[in-house]
Amino acid sequence: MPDRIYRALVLSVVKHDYLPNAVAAHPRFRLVAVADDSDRPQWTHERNQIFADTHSIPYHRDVEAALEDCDLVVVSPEAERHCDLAIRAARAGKHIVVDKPLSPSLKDCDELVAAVSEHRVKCLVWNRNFLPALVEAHHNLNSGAIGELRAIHCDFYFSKDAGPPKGSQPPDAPPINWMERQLEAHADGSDGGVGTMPLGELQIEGIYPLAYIRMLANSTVKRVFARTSSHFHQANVDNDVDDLATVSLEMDSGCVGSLSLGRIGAASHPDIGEIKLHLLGSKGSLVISEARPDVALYARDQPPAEFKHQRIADENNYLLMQNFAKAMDLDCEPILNAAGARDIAATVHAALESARSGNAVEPIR
Amino acid sequence: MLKIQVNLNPSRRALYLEALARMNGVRAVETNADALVTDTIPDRTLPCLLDHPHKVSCDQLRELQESSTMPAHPWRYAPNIVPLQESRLRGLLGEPGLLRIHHWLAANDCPSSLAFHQVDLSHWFFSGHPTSCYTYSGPDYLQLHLGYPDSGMSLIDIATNRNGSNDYYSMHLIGSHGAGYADDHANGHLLLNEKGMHALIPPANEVVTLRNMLEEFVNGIKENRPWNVSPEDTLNALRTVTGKTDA
Repeated sequence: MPDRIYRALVLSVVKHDYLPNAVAAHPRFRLVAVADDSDRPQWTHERNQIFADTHSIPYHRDVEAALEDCDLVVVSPEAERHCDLAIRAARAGKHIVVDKPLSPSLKDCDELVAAVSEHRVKCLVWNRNFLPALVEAHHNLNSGAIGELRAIHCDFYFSKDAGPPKGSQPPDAPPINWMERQLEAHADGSDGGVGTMPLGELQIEGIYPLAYIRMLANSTVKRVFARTSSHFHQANVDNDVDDLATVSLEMDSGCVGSLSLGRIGAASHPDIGEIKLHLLGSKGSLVISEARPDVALYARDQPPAEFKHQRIADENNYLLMQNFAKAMDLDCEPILNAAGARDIAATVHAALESARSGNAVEPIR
Repeated sequence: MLKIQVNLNPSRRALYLEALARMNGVRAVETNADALVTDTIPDRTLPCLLDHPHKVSCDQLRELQESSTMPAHPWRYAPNIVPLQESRLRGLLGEPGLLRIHHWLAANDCPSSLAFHQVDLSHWFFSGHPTSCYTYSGPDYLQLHLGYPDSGMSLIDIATNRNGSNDYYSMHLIGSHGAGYADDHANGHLLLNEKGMHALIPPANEVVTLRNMLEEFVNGIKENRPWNVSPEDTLNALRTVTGKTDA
């Protein structure tokens, strides 16, 4: 019997569109429509309509009505709306693929975890755990190549700009409006923090490296100590959110670790940024570059912003959706489910609290 | 010609003599020296480069603050560190924001005894003392999380007694305008043979490091100026490593 094709409803696609595009590209999934609430701002409807037109699917301004004709939803609105839309889908009995981060609100995360459990649906939270380097690291750990994991460290820097550099504005310039800045950032796809609530890099991107650590350490975090700063971008300074952070981690398994993370500016790396993992085991060590394998390309007239090293053999999108199809087929859990992403959100929450207080903080269980 | 006498154990002395042999305007001597390299408290009659200053007691280091003694902080002069510091001094990196160091060693040493050098680098890059220090230590392992004024932050992990014979070093400094990366991962070579593929990590060139450090020592003497490292720097790094403010 041929594999079932799952029909996916896109619930709001107002920031980067890699998630619904990844779903559309997988042979087991078919996009059927885009939907959003009718009372959303006009720019929201415009972006939803553009995506719908691009994929030749209808756009409905009624989420609940659209939910009746799909198997799963693809949730990609502002981060602060992730859980609301995902919970409504769960209550309608629909499976969920939701963009990262799960939510800046732990309460919202908890409600989603409860809804997913109550309505017995599957929920995949977007992550990069199937990048070739991560697959390699996971395989080596599982095969015992470095023995028992004792420490794990992750560097996660995006060498992107985010509006005017810190200190570059005239003294009498008004504070940069977060939402306006994020709407501008849509042009280059760096609008992961779009929404009315300003979000720092730990909240926007922290889920990626923390999902690596969670998968490889196979453990939850029991204590964190963190420092944060607004070091690079005036928008982050004006909105009191971090663009650089360090986090020390102690895990339930006894493994320790750390995370350094930031949006460090386009000048600070020739490609997307330094993203590395350092793992110490009882019998050996692993040093993994997340961007490899890659191919170097240098050419006259090459656009300055173009990365000189291009990642190859990246099947993360395909493998994530394959993983999710399997979860729905066999009633098993996907690689990062709502509960796992909720624990990561709790770690981020604890890190921000630690940075504020100067003390080590235990994530809320 | 500046005459330098090296009073160290044979293996250490051999390294210093090799470094001195690569320098102009200096000569290694056994007597009638103009300056000393030693690892014991000097008699203060001659300018002195004090090797392994972190092994000297803190009281003795305090006494040396008024003397003509340059403590040897060789990591500041290592070939992989010099370009970063020069870029920092030229302002290319902007305000330092984050320093990350991984140092893993095969030797069965105490991690905290090795932390001195990396902590000194951290203080040096951030031009000050940490305002916070969070540590985690285990057998053969030390993790330091330092905070500096103006939100600077530093993460250092040191592991010893590692399997195999290779050491591994990785460091990067993220500044507001740029970043520097010094990483054995990027600098490694590959050996392919009947046992498979192995990474070859070139050892840090200790002679070049010592030569760079000796040049600062000699130039400080010739130019009659303070050296760019002092016993106070040694004390400050020791204070952070030991967690004792009165170290």
